[in-house]
Amino acid sequence: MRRALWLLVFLGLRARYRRLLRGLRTVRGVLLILIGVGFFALIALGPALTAGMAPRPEIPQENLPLQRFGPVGLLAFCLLSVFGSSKYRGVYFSPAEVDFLFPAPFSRRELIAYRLVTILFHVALGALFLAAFLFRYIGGYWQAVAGLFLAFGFINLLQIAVSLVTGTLEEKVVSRGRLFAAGVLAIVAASVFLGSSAAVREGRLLHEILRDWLGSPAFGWALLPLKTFSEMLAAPDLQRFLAWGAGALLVDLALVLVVLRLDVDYSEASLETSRRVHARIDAMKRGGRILASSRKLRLSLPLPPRWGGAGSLAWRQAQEMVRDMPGTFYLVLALAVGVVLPLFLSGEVGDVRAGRLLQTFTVVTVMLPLLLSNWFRFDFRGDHDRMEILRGLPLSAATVSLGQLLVPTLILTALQMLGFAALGFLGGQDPDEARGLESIVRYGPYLSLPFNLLFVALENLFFLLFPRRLVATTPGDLQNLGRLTLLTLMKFAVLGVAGIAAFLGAEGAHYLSGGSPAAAVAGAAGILLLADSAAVALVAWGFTRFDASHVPAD
Amino acid sequence: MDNTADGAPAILVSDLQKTYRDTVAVRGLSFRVERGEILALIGPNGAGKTTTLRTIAGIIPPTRGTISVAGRDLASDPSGAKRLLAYVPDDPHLFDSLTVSEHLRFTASIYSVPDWRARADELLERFELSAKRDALGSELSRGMRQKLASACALLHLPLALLLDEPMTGLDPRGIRTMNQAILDCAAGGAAVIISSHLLALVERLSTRVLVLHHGRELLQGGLQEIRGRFPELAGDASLEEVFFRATESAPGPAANAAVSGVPEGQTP
Repeated sequence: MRRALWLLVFLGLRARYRRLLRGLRTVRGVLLILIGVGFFALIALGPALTAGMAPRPEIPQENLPLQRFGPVGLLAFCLLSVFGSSKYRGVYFSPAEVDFLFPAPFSRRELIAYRLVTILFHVALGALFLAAFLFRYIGGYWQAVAGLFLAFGFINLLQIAVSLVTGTLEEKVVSRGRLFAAGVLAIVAASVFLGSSAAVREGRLLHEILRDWLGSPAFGWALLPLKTFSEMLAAPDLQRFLAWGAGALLVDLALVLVVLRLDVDYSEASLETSRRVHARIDAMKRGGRILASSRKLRLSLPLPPRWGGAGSLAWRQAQEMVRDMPGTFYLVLALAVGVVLPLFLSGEVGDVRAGRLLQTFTVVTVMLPLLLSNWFRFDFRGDHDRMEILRGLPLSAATVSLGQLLVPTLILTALQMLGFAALGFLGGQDPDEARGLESIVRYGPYLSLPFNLLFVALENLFFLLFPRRLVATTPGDLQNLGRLTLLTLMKFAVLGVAGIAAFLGAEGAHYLSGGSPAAAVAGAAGILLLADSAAVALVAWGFTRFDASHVPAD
Repeated sequence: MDNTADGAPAILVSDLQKTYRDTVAVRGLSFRVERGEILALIGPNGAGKTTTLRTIAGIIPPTRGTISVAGRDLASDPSGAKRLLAYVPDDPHLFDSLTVSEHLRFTASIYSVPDWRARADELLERFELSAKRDALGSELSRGMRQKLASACALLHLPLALLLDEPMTGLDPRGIRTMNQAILDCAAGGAAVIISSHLLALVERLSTRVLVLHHGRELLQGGLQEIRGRFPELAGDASLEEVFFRATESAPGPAANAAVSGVPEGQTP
């Protein structure tokens, strides 16, 4: 790689940390960094500092979940990563890199080498940071750093290699290549289906078949390259760490070699990818959706009643949400697969109705607004660059606020209702396991809507009071971590107060009604509705004082 | 600017064709630009101007045809040809976190410019960026980005300068500075290709004009020469009048079968 490209790598890295240092020039910046450092120390270094007082969790020599499920998990992650970026062919270069590097006298290989170096630098920074959180559960800090670096490096390298190979195939055999890939997939799917059907007819459960298949020697050999990473991370002694580490390093080096040897003319594909990614980042900076899908559905929803203008605003947001439906669908699918599949395969649960699955499902259902709220920014948070239009509407601030908050509140409530319904069904299948969930399933739906409205209102209020454009941050950006920690603490403090008030309301109603559970729920819901009114009023106030011309841009 | 093959034109384009899947953006384009010449590339939106410039800059590969810069073939010796080139896109992107002077430092490093600081200072002064040398790329306005990109392009004294809509976003003083920079560059022996919709401005700057329409060459030559193709126009007809007469009388996209323009700056 030429000196100029090394210089760019160095300047880029220096620039990122110069930005962090700039944050130290203000008192606010220093405070945020201190909070970030405090949070980091609490979560990451706290257990290490108290290691002398509390015994370290014992790491068994064999059969760690990491060893058992690591390769499959990594495979799933790689597949998701590759398929998720399938529409982005070539290698991604930022628009500035395209403008400066593509017309410059660099060879394609030099540019690929530059890309690899920058990616690996970021992976290294990420590994250094992430290892601080994970090393207690793995073996040691540097073992975690090395393992994470090689594993994340592998994922990135694989993505680039697949993208370049796909580009080459597409160039040479556009339709035949796709047909071939589809044919192979169809044969694999048919074999799995036929094998599974035969086994199911023999009376075996599907998850047992799947587990056996995943535990078969053939699959084990196929996953050997991926196994090197999990074994390296889980290695209980230096000897095994070095042996598996060497294997993992070889796998990564082989991929580097493939990427450099391919010498595909990726420039055109990279230009297109750069344009698409830049457009998406731009849309996100303007407050657009994280899930924005390129395949927009052209469905039109009927216009609801006007409701003083709030209905029209909600309709506009709902329309955008429907158009982004593919992205929403993928998110829900990923969440379902991510939560259910590992438990389904873990072997520690007997079947779908087992307790752990039910518990996890319950936690996910209750926490759904917290988990998904950021993905459904069909409110003020997604309207950064449309605030002036909203401000110019002949509607009261309260009406605008209500119209803006309706869609995410309703979608989160609908998803939560689905979760409650599923819990009711699963609990009905096995009443023993469902014990304790009864009250959640029975009364949760009544509190869902007022709670979600409160939560969405708070998210919007904090956005309006402390606006920030959504940007990617550097690993170790403690100022940003501090900001996020502070905002989260503030939100949860308000939610906590509302929760205590609702609890007291429920207790009061329960007492006054002579022990009626329905009255208790009504009491809690009533308090939450009062909190909703106050929150919407505060959002309206935040909206009127929002200065669209002064949103900090990172 | 000395390392060129003797007698070879600064830019030579032969039978250039660029196809994006089923869309032909540029078809059978051939022209040459000699040292000291300023060629104006004009045409309606989607005519293929940006695609032509990007292909000559080596950013995208041509589907057919050859391009050489001072005798160096862009396909067989891309680094050698690109070393003599400079390209300023229509909407230049800078590195958000790099300062103005770091952009120049990096560019100097790419082209191994000796004594680059003095030249960089001169360019910063010329483009009124001296006070902004420590500003980040993300802190610059559209016009300033354009000026910095132009300064970077001129830093290594290119033999061939490709400018796509270089006046966009510039204030009147900036436009004047840019005009003078282009004229100086050509006077210094560089070949310049400039794509612009500002026909009056282009008319003053260029020595030759190439009119593109639906990816094809419609007219090529000096202003007097192309004016002569339309005897019905007055002898002192402006480039704008010539342009409209030429494009209005040209066959439409239907007559070009598969030929169809691509929006500027985009690939389909």
